[in-house]
Amino acid sequence: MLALANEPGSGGAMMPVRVATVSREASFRSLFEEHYEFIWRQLRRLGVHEDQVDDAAQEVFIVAARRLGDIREGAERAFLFGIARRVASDVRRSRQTRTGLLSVPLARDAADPAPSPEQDVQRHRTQALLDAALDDMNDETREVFILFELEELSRSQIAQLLGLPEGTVASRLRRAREEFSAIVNRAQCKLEVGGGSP
Amino acid sequence: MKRIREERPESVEALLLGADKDRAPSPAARARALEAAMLVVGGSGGVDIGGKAGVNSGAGSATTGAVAPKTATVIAWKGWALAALLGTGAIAGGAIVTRDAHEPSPAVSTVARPPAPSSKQEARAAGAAPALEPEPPIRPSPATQVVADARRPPPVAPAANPAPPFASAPSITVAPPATTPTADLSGEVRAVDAARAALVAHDATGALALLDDYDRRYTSGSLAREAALLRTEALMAHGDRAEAVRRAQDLLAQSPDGPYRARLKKVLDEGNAAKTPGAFGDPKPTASSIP
Repeated sequence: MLALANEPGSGGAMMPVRVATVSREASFRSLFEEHYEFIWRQLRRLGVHEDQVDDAAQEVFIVAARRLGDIREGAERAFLFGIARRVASDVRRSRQTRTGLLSVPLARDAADPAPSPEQDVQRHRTQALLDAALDDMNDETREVFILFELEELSRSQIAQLLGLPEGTVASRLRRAREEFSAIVNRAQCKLEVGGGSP
Repeated sequence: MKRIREERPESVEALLLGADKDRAPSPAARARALEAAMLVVGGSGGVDIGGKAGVNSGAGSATTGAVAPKTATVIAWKGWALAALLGTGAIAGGAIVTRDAHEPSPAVSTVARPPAPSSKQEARAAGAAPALEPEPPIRPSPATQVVADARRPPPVAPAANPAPPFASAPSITVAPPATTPTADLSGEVRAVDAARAALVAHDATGALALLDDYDRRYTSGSLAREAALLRTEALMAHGDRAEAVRRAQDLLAQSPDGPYRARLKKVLDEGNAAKTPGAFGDPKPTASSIP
């Protein structure tokens, strides 16, 4: 805010604060418009449950709003993603300590006012399995994995976003893919052994 | 390196990854988030009145043994989901086409509208900011930031004064309303959002205080039912399960098929699930009381 208030050309003695406020608002709105959906998606993929993801995304942008002056031009997405990782981590951690309210992944389906068509239910189930598999992954590898496989960023884009060397991204990605496949295979084996009953 | 869905499009991994494509935030959630964040931008710029870092394990975290990260429920769920998945090969094709009907919060969805753009040409003005911090620390919870709206004093400052054990008649002093309550719909939205955010941040005491504030300001407000629902959740998170269940039952009886049915049932389920000796009864630690 201070940096903006002292911008050249911001007006007379009574104007800088107002101009700075308007500028902050416009700047933030632009940031929000450009990145909200991206952040929402990553939060979801980072393990924030669907009934918490809206609030988590809101929290990310509230933090960003407070720290608007710290965001470097061109690095907005990395900044927001950094916040999102922390928020997701906190939400996941807190969720794991709350059993009753949070352990019914299909409650939403069952309680939806409109009846779900079969394919919609199937889609929810598949998404839930994907969530569970991602949830089993190591935090480090999961980040790279979701950005590459789901967000379809390039390795160099991921490196930039995470502030990592591209080689590190590549090696994490290899490990991530192995990890993901192993998790899916284990789940299949468990199903075959256990007969698939919940 | 190709992506799994390109490299092995018929694999189970590819199938699972394909399920992600339909997920998107609801417009209502988006609008609500923008409005809440704009309050911070346009307000005081973020007054630290909360002081509690991020989301922590505050409310609802005291149950012994509940910390196991991979619970049997999760494992069972995976097996169940995979059974469903493998049993329905049609998913692999074009069956998964329905867009995610992500359910917005009904009360807010009709009122939370983003303010009009004020100055697009200045949208990049903040770029002159100093260094990037890749992983910025998360400072006070959104609830306490949202109530930092310059138009009125914050109703409660949980971090400044460690929260006392919550009583059904809270002793928190709240400033009298600064505006006429009846027509202040956006104020209602902010108040309810602040309470929701506090609850998400596991500051149940703060959420309850904010809801008390809401009730005082907006008698018979448009979002009264949302507020009442939030109160049941906040009470449950705070450990006052009996009162939470009682209120949830009342709300459910008033509107058994209402939009809040699922959330009310969650409250009731948790209340019922916790009816084991020693599982609850003592108020749980609040966010502000946990080191």
